[in-house]
Amino acid sequence: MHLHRLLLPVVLMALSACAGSGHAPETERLAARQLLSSVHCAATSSQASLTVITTDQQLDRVLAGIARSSGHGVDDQFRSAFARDLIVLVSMGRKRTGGYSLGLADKALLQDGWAVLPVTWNIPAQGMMLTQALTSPCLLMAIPRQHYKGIRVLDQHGRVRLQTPLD
Amino acid sequence: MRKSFNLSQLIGNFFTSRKWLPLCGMLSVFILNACGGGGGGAAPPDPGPYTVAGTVTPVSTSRIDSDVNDPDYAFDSNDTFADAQDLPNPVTLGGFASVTGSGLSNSNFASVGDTTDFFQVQLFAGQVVGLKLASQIADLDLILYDSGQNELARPQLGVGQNESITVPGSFSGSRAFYIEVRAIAGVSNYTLTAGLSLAASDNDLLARDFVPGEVIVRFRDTVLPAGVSTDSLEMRAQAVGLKAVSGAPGRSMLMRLVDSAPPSAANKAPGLGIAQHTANTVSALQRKLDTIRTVEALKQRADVDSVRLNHIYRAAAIPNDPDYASQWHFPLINLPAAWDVSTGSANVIVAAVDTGVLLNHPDLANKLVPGFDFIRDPSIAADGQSAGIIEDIDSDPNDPGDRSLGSASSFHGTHVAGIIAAETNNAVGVAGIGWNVRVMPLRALGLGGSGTAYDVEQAVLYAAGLPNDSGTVPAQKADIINLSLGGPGGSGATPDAYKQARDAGVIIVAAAGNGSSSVPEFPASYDDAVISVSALARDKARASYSNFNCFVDVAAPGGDGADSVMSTVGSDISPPVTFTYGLKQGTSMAAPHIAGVAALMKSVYPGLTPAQFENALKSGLIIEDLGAAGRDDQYGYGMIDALKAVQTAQQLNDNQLNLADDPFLAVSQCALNFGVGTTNLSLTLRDTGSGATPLTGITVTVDTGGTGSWLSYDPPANGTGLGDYTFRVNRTGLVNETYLATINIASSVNSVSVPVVMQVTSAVAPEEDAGLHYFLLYDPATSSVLKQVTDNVNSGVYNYQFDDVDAGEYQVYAGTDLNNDGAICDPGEACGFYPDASFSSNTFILNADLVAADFLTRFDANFTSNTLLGASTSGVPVRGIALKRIQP
Repeated sequence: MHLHRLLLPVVLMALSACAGSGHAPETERLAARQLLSSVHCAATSSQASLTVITTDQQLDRVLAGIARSSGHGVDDQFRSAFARDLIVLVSMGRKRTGGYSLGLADKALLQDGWAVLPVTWNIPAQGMMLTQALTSPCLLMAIPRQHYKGIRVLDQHGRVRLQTPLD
Repeated sequence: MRKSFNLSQLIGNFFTSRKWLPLCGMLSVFILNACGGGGGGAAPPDPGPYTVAGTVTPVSTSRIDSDVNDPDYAFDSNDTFADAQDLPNPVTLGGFASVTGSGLSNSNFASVGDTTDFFQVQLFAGQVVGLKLASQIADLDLILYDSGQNELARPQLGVGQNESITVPGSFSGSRAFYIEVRAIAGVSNYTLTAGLSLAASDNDLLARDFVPGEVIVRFRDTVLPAGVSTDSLEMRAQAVGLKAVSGAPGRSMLMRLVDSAPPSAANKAPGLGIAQHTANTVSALQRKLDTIRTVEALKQRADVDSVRLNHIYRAAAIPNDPDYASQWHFPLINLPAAWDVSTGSANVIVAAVDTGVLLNHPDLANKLVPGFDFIRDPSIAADGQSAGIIEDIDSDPNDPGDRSLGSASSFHGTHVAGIIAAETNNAVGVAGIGWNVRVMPLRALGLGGSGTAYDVEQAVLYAAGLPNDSGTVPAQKADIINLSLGGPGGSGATPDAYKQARDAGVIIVAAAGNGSSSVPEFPASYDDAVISVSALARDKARASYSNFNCFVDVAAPGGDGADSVMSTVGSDISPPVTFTYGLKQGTSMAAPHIAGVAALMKSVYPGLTPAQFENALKSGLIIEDLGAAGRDDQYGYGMIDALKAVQTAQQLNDNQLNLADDPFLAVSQCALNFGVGTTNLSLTLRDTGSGATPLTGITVTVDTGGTGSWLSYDPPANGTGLGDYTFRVNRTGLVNETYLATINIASSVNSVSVPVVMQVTSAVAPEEDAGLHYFLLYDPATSSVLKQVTDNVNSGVYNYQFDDVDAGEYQVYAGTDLNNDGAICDPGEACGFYPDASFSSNTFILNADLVAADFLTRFDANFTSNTLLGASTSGVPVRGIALKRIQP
């Protein structure tokens, strides 16, 4: 793991050297971490969304919704994270069955000032039997509290699922 | 074992890891070219260029609104009745509508608006016309007209609401209808569907909670029967043909029907003196019918001030579980009163075929019998078990949760089990329907709440005590099986597992599905073996997400909006799992309400058979009728009423009710639709009775309404008249139009009619048309569209070809841009992609010409709505794959 961290700048430098002319975006690792992934987050909209939580009230609402739906106890780790970091909520929106989930997939990046968050965006395979309870998968992540031009969420295939400018 | 690293391997892995593609996709290609390769000295692949080409087929029944907003697509106005666009039946149409002034620039409707779209289609009674909006801030109305342009129905549900209309069963005019989609506010793509979903015939409504044979009458003191001068209880009773019980002049009197025929004077007086009793017996059911009719007759007499049934009131058992106060869904179905009759028996077992159950949950641990885990695939089971009986099948039905997905788990099966039989009146947590009933946890769904039909069927067989892949059977088979799951069906024939389980006397209950559509899901729609359950909101309206179709048998609470169903769950955010309580919504929650009530009935009357339970539904004895009188597609026969259910069970147990396990003819399909190209369809005839008295006299005839002998059938070879029929259509020599027919099936007990629809078209090739399609060659590494071509449908297919494509990893997307917002695959638009779900990867590696990249495109009636029109143009993929197309 440590070797990865040491090598990353080296690899990036090599890439830059070979690519030469500065086409590569400015990229560095971003210390993002997953706080919670749940399939029941009390989403009321069917639309996927990306939200940066900026107030205690927002955080309370989100955590209360998760607790109400799933029985998950929500505790101090979220509040301590909120005091230190930015909290990002990724929601898939309301889904009509099981089979959907989200997770922080890999190392996040700071790319040209954007926080790039790679997630696993799981959807059910066709033809499967699925639980027939409504779900609303969401992912709560903490990223360092600093200035970002925006936040972009990529799925496991590299597609932009959600993005929001913050400037 | 300690893992070692070397630099070249690490860099090689770095470059080949798809997880880093967003970062290094473009750069890695550069490195490979400029730096002479980066992966261990292998010769670099031939960089191309190559060709990518294929054929794209719109799925059957696809049509496109002839006046959409995309100016590049052929325009044909359908704004009036006269211009109405002809549609086949069934159909899934992608459309566009907007009010004046809401259009996008450079579009067909930039300034004028597409305020109305008219369609003409042949429909018949019971079919559902559905309208799904893409925008949640637009308001489109769905209006149904008869052929004379008279308005028949208009839901007018408001902004962002999807609408549906069931073609009225009473309509007896022409079978041609007009459909209008009218823009009320905003602008939106939409999907219009019309398919087969036929209501069964109505049934008598006898669901009343009263003493059979007793009526309470208050007479007008000032009006005495002719020739009578002195008022008395006996005189009044004699005058109306009833037996005096108690009461006196000046107050209410309790009277009783005379047991023997002929019918009472009360019925004779207003002309209702029809024979009330069946020839063989005066069943409790018949006696309740007599009582209701007597009340209606007495209401019409001049000397009667008021009359009512002698309703039964009972104390209602309220359990002391602290979260019971949140379980609004139990009083809604009259459970407290039912619990006064029975709280269930430990001899009754309900199998929950689901994600498994948290076996140590304190509200369930004492309520479980041994179960099994039927998930064969270890990657789905994810339970850490090894050396299963076959593949990963093992005897541990504990729900291990979804943590391997990095997600807190749903513990869906635990929630379902709690609804059925959480430990109740124990001052802990929630109540369950069957206080003493036991649950057999059977695990067939794994990671993410998904699993295979085969594993589910093995669990069903096990529950019914039948041979299965576990190699064992339970010590006591289940009485009821709950299936809070669903998926697509196959040919429509009911799999043997369900038929055999039902034949073994097991009542099978399943969730109708959460698609908010009439599209059947399975196993709920295996009509001859499974009870299909739709979901209700707290106000007894059909839940917004619940499916509705001709297979729905009964409704139960599933929650909607702010109201959810409370039950047992677990929390595994921070291992180990903790046992908690939570809220969920869905037909998954509705089904166990039915399973639980059936368990109460079975507790009162152990001899309850699947046929008797179905007959109790059909006769209205155990439901509160909702929606249209009798059976309808929204609620089936109505909402389950637990009190009526246990009372019915009591009457069965006391031989007071003749819900005989009689032979009864049932069919596997409520309609057959041959569309424009299908020539053969199967229909299974089945006796749902016990078999003790064989169903006889089965005859099958077809009525094509004088349109010729285009419909024929092959009967099963067994000679009984029961079994699988193959129906065939012959379109030879028929003129172009939609043909309707009826299959009439008679038996010694009951008759069934199955509507048939078939179309003849002039086109040599199929007429499916999903509109102008844009084909995009997409580079997932850079999230960019590299090339674009367009095509209109030709002979039922689209063709595309990309030339001069470099070697690399790609995807191909195809779709419409009905609203002309510059993005394909928006909500409400046709969409398809390659590689599709039948491939293991969502991308393909191009290192040679690829000329058969074929796939399907479709309008999806279950798409996810968008809050803002055109949000996809921001680069945010709303439907998951919405993409900006290349514009000049």
